[in-house]
Amino acid sequence: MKLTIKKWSAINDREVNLNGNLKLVFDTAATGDQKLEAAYRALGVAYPKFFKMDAQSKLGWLSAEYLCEEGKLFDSSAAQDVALVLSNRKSSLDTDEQYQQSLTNEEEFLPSPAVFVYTLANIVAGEICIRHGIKGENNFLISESFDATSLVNYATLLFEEELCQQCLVGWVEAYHGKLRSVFASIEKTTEEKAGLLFTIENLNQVYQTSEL
Amino acid sequence: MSELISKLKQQIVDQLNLADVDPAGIDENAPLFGEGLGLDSIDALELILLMQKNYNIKIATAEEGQKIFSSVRAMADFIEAHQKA
Repeated sequence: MKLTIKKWSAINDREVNLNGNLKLVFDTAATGDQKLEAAYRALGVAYPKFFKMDAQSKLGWLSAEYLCEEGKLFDSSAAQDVALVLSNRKSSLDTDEQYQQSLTNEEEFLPSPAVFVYTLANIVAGEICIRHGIKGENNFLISESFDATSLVNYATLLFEEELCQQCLVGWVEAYHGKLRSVFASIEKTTEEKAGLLFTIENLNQVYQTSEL
Repeated sequence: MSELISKLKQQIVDQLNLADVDPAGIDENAPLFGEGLGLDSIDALELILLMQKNYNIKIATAEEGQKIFSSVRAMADFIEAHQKA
C-alpha cells in the first residue's frame, strides 16, 4: 500500500502557503489575532463560530480550510473513513494561561465558560470535525518538536488497520500571538499516480520548507 | 427602555464574539436560541455571565433563565424590573 501527501497547507507569522505556493502575506505589524482574522477574511467564507474559537482552534480550522477544494476537505471518503492526527508542543497552554488568569482575578471573579471549553488541545480537532462532518479516528500528540516519525507511523497504522481511507496529519500551535501550523492531506494511491510519498523524510521536508 | 435594548444588543455582540453581527440589526423580539442569532449552550452560560457582570443579576434557576433569555426584550424587561425592585 502506498500513501501519498496529496496537498498541504502551512501558516506561520508571515504567510499562508498551499502546496508551497504563497496564498496570503500577513501585515508584519499585525497581532496574531489580526493575522488569523485576515486569513479568515481572505477565504471569503461565512462561519460565525470562527470568532468564538481560541487562537489555536482558529489556526487549525484555517489550516484545514485552506486545503479545501470547492468547500470540501476530502473528495470521496465517507465521514467515518476520514481520520485526524494532529500534534504540537504546548498543548492548549495559550488558552490555559488565559483561563488561569481569569481564575486569579479577585476583583472580578467571572471566568468565562467560552474560554474554558478551549482548555484542551484536541478541541481544535473537534472544530475541524464539526466543520467537515468528520467522524473517523482522531488523536492529538504532544511532543517536544515536530515529530514526523510518530505522525507517519500512527497515520500509516490507521490505513493498515483499515480505520481510514484518508487522513489529515499536522502540527498546530498558537502561543502568545505566534502562529505555526502545517497540515497534510494523506490518501492511498497507486504506484503510477504516486506523487509526494507519505514518508518521514517527506513530511519533515514539508514542515521545514514552511518555516520562517 | 429603547436605550437599554440598544446597550444590551451591543453587550451581547461583545460578550458572545458575534464579530459579523450588527447590533442594530438584532430583532429584540426574535428568539435568541434555535433561530434568530442561533446561540448554543455555551452562549447561554456567557449570557448568565453578562447579566451578572453588567447588571449584578444572578439567574437562580434554569426555568428562570429560559424565560429571561427568550429574547433581547425579555432580558431588558427583567433588568428593568430588577433595577426598580
